[in-house]
Amino acid sequence: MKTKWIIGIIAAVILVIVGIALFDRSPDQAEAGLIKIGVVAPLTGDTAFLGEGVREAMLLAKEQLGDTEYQYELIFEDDQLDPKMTASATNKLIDIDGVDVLVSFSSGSGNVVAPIAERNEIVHLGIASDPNVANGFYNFIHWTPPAEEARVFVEELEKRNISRLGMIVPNQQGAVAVADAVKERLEGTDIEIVNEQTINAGDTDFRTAVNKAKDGNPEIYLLFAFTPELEILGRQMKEAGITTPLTSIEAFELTEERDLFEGYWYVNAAEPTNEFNQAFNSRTGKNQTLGAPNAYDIFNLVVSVTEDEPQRPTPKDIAEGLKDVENFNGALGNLSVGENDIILSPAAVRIIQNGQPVTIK
Amino acid sequence: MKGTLLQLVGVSVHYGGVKALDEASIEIGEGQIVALIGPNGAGKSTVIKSVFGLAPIQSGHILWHEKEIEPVSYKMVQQGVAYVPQGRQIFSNLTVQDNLEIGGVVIKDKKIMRSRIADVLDMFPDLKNKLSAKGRELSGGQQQMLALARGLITDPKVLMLDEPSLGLAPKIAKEVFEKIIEIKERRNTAILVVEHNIRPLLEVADRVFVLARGKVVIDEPNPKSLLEGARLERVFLGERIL
Amino acid sequence: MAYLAHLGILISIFVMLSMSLNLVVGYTGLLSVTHVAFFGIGAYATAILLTMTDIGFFTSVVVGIIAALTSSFLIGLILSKFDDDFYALASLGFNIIVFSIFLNLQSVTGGPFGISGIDRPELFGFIFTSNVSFLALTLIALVALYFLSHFIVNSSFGRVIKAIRDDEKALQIFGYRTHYYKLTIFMISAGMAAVAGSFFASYITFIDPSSFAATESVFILSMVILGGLADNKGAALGAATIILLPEFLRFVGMPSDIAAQMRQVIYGLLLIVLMIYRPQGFLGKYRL
Repeated sequence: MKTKWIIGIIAAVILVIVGIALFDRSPDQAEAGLIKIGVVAPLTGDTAFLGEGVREAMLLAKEQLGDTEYQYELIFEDDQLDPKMTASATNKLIDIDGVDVLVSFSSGSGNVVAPIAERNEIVHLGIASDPNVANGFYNFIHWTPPAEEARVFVEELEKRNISRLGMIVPNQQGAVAVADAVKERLEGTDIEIVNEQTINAGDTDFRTAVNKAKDGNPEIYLLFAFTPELEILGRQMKEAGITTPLTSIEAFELTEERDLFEGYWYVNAAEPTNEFNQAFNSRTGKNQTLGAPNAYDIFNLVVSVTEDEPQRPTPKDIAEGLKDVENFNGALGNLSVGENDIILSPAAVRIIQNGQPVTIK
Repeated sequence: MKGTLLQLVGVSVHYGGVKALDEASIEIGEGQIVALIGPNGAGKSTVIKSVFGLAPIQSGHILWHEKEIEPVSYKMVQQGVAYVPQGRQIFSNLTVQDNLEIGGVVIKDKKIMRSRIADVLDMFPDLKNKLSAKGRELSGGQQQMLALARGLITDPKVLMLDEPSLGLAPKIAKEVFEKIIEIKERRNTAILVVEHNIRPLLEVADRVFVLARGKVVIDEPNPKSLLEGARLERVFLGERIL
Repeated sequence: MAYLAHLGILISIFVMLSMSLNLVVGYTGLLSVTHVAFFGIGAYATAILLTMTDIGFFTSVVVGIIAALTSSFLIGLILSKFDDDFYALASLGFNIIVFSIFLNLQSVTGGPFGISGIDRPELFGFIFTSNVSFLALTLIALVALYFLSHFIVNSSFGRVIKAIRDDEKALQIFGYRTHYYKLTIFMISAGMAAVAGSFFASYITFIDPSSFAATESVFILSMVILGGLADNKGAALGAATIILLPEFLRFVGMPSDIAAQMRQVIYGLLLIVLMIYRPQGFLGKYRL
């Protein structure tokens, strides 16, 4: 009896989904002049703080819209950075919500969304470092590419006459991408990687790697780790008596324990404008998170391109419009879309001063 | 003289520092009911376990038809030795039919399996109507009958029963002993019985071995004689008799 | 339609996985948490072959099965010596090893970058691009695996593995070399998990190690427990429930700033309620 009851509930759930899917159609958005933007981001789980930052930034951008020719709707779906949830969210946004534009967060999610978007001819903008996410006519990336960060980083090393570099790299996609870009950039220079250690995200004891990192006597250590590994590494390096300067690409920007890295310079993805920072802080009470300014810019880019169209644009029109973007004033500075559909934004050199990141270049 | 089927010759089994069996020698002849009795901890169950490789033998030999054999369960089963363990160990979530078929590991031919099951059900008619019942649905007595029936599926030459009346009401225990006699008479199967229920067993056994502290202290070809006198009492009260 | 087909595909893939684990956990009573490793082996076999060679999807499935059978044979030899908690622990260890290989063997697996651009299957010139066509293919595979599983559990071999669950020691007394049976069922289930992995890789078109972490083994185990141990229909129901519940909750209207979090809370509560009122799962014959 109970079994039948439970099976009945499941059947009802399935019927509800079917019913909603088949019968619950939104008003014809083509006629309403409504542009729907679907956002797939981690809204729960370990990286929820990043997904929430993306959400807040896009809502902020929407709130700041004045009068526009078209209306814009944002629909957020959680994917927890899990590929199967990303695929579910994307299919739902396209098939049920009928979005015109998709936004994804992270290279993993972007790689799942991109082929679906391309197949369904829906514009997709990924906040991702992997250039594969931008494959296809309808796919774009908005990120400071690893190559740009590496360029600025190596320039800074040369400027400071540093010739011996030590690297500590976690086995994570984003970190490895940037590390590879740095290595590529260093070819042909006088700067040598004298030591390279790999750590695993999720570990809490890096003392073995830290001790091995002393070999080669580097002049500076490049740490790619993020919270919490970054802080653990910083503390364990101090405990090991390492007084050699530390640097990072992006990581110092995101740590809550900036005192560990006081006085150290680093390279960050493009720096958001003060305007954006203040508006974001005012709305959320917090500093901007990784990818938030990118999300803000994506919304405004889509609006900008759409508003240029004399009649309600199709996703193809929006894609074509995006490819022509040049010198767009965004939260991350002056933006243009490159040949490979990557929205370029320049990297910046910053320093931690009195616990705050300060731009020096 | 009937042939000797299974022999333990000077078998010693140690569990750590404890001697569970101490140079024990036991014989089972064709068509015999052999009783194995003794106080708690005497090593009775260990005798059976050593034959099936479930207890570590430090010294001594196991012989089958007077030839040494490796005491490993599947080899013993292949030779024609079956074991009905203490507590019946029916597979409670399998049906009676499945339990019977499980007993026939060495039977690959389905026709032979069907024929064996039919034979066994002939001896245990109460199980005929319960073939699709799960093992857990049977009473204690029915489970013991199923365990015996399962033990006979391979048509063994030697059947080793460990405490077959354990946990059964006296009336049911009596039925079990009657069944044991029936098995011997109909199939000429040699049966080694480990039991606490001494009197009914000694009434039917052809030979009895009495164990105490791992040693065989009495080897009696006339088991009924032990029912008189105080020999057994002295063993069970702990006094050595050699 | 595409979204429903998508759900159908995901359910089919995870039903395959759930059924495969049910053979080991449900029917044989071995608490294994390795299955996501074999899922991953199948997925990576297909991903690597489809992106780096001219080998097609269907051949890659066979290669994935062979890889899973080989690795499960090796690890199964070790695992079959263990019982109960030690079996679970050892299987978890294997899972971690395989995950580390996926993560670190960058030249082959792409490491943390994963492998993108995995093609959809092609058969006689027809490419299973649409969700509906891919669903049809997945259902064919699912039905085949269902019948395989059904045949196994109802055969004399199946009788023995069920008896292992009940009382392995007793079975050994009857002359069964139970470690061979445990090894065999482990290998069969690994092969099935690899098939599910191949379909997963080709459908999602991108895989990375995060889909095959040890925590995913717990996810699959929860499908088996929820659906009910030792029942293939239960395994299917458990997989469908776990996949559909969060999807259903996407349609439950809530304020956007709390929607995602509330869905997680509701999802968790529903699972707890289900386990309180039905601890053996929907159609289960045993408890874990």
